Amino acid sequence: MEGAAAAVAPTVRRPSRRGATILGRDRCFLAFHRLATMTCMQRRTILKFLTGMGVLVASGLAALGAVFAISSSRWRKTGEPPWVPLCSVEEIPDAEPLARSFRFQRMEGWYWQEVERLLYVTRLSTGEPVVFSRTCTHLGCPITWKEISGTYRCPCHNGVFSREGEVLGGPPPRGLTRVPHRLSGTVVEVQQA
Amino acid sequence: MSEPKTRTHGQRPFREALAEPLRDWVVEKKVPAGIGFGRALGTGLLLLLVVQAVTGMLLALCYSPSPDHAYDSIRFIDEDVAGGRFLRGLHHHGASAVIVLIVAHVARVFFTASYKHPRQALWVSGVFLLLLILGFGFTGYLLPWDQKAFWATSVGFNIAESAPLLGKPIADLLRGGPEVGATTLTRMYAIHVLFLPAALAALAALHLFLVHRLGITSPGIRVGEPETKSEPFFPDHVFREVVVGCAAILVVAALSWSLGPPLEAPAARDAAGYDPRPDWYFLWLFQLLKVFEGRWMFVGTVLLPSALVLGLLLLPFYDRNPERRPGARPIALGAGCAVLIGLSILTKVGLDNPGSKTRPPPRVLSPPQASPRLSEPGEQSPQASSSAPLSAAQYVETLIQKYECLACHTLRGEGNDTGADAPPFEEVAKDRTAEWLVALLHDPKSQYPDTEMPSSADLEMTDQDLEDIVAFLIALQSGRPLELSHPIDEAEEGEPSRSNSSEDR
Repeated sequence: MEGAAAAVAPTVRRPSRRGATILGRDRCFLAFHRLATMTCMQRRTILKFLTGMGVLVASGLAALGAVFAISSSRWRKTGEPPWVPLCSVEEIPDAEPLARSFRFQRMEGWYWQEVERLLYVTRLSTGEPVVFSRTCTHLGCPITWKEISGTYRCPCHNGVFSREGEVLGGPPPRGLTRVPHRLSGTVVEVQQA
Repeated sequence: MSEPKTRTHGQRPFREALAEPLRDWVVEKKVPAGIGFGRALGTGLLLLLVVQAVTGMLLALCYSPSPDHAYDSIRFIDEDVAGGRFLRGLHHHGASAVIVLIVAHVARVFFTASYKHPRQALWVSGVFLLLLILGFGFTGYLLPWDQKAFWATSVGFNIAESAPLLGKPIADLLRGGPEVGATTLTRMYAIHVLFLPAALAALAALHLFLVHRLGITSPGIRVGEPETKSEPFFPDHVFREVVVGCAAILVVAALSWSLGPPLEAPAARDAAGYDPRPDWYFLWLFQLLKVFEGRWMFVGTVLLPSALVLGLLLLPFYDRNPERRPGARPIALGAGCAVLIGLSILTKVGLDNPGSKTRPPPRVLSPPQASPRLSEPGEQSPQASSSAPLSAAQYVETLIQKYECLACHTLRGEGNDTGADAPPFEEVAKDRTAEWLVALLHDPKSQYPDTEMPSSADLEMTDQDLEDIVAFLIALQSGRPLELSHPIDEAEEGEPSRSNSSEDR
């Protein structure tokens, strides 16, 4: 190893016009100097120009990337969603919620996805029907009604909600989300979304 | 060596150009005396990451990042590709091993105080590498598109969303929409296989370069004292690195051989009663989220995790104690131990409280038009699936799918994932009449008092479907062509669309 290094060490240096060794970086420097002389610009101006161009191209690419990423994360809206019947008012028991579901198709980017929505329909103490989303308000796990305790429970982080949707315990920051509904005669309807 | 480096490029013999890095990086490299296996964890990690890269590239040969195909392509890898199950096991358990090794590596650097001057940049690049690795974990486990994948990812994005101001836009951007869906899967795939590997390669190269430049810290010396390197790197330390790397790979291979990769039922958006859990290395966060209630929720979701990351990142800048001996840095070691013990306890509690594990359904045996997971074309395209009529046998197979008979029975050797003691469909009609089979389906306990088979009433099976299934079983036994008592198309609406959701659970 040492021998090989010593054998090639005294290499022949290529003389420049001034007799000094020209390294790679010197060549760059000379080219740059020549460019400055040819264009009658100050080297500082050229540097500024080149840096500006670099920043411009880089930020242009970054902006393009950001626009692409953001706009591709928007799902197409397919008009006003239709109202679908869930149940009739008489069907809702007094002491527990009624689990209902509906299915619909929606466009997720390029993909038609069949989505199933599960909802709970129940009565408030006033007798007025109310529709709750099954998504926990903490971090979005699916809640279920537990008959034994008479509460909705979230399996993830132990959120507990009363039948009327208020937080009884656990981490959820607010009560169950109410899904807007309307009464068409005695039929409870919600929007398909 | 003593010769000043004045040579120009292009005049150096090729073999010397090759030998020089080997000489500098391996042969003539010296390390401090008295270092042990702890200093070899980083190389073990590097080896494991190479295994992850190779297994990942191979898995990508068969994987399709789209909701209608992702799950099936994973099952294809597991069940049809020779060695596919083992390969996916290597990638899955390899990911866990990477986490174990990276935590051990960070802990080693922390407890030997190797992050102190002049190695601050090395530490900072290491913390970013740790974050990248966690990013690989998070993006990777959506890809099988099973229940665990879907729910763990949903919860993960909701955590990000709970951050004030920027949380929601950033979550939407990464998720590719307001909910986890088709666009999320493609995004996670692109991030997992393109963005993160590129970042990891660049950052790991910088990290290794800095390790080479700055060298291994001599154990126990104060900051500013001269560091002595007296032990040869090769073979002494290389030996330790090879041992750590090989041990890690052997453990991963043993795990994937014995356990294989996990897979649950396919992702379903409204999975009533499903009890989601993340992979074990995120369980500490999962448990932490239970602690902070109501409006303090953001402490668990945002504040503590970011404090942990910032605390790690800035460690060399606020820990100005020049000592490296453990005895001389009680506060730092106390804090480090507290964090590690806290994380372990949270993980332990999470492990003691396992969530649901939903089994994969029987595989789809019939051609695509009968596939229950086939995506329905939207209003814009005509119903493509109704163009090809089903044969009688294919139609009955959709019924068998619908009533989930293959959870316990088998057909053509497939099914019975539950390991039940049920006969294969090829044999159930042996020496039996159609009447006997009808009676059996109506009330299995009348023929076999101890059976666990549900009755047709339990399954809500119509008499027409029951008759068709019996005719199918008789035909299967006798080898005669199957003839149903009714035309097929009118029964087509009994299409088994429910198997996509776990509504009935």
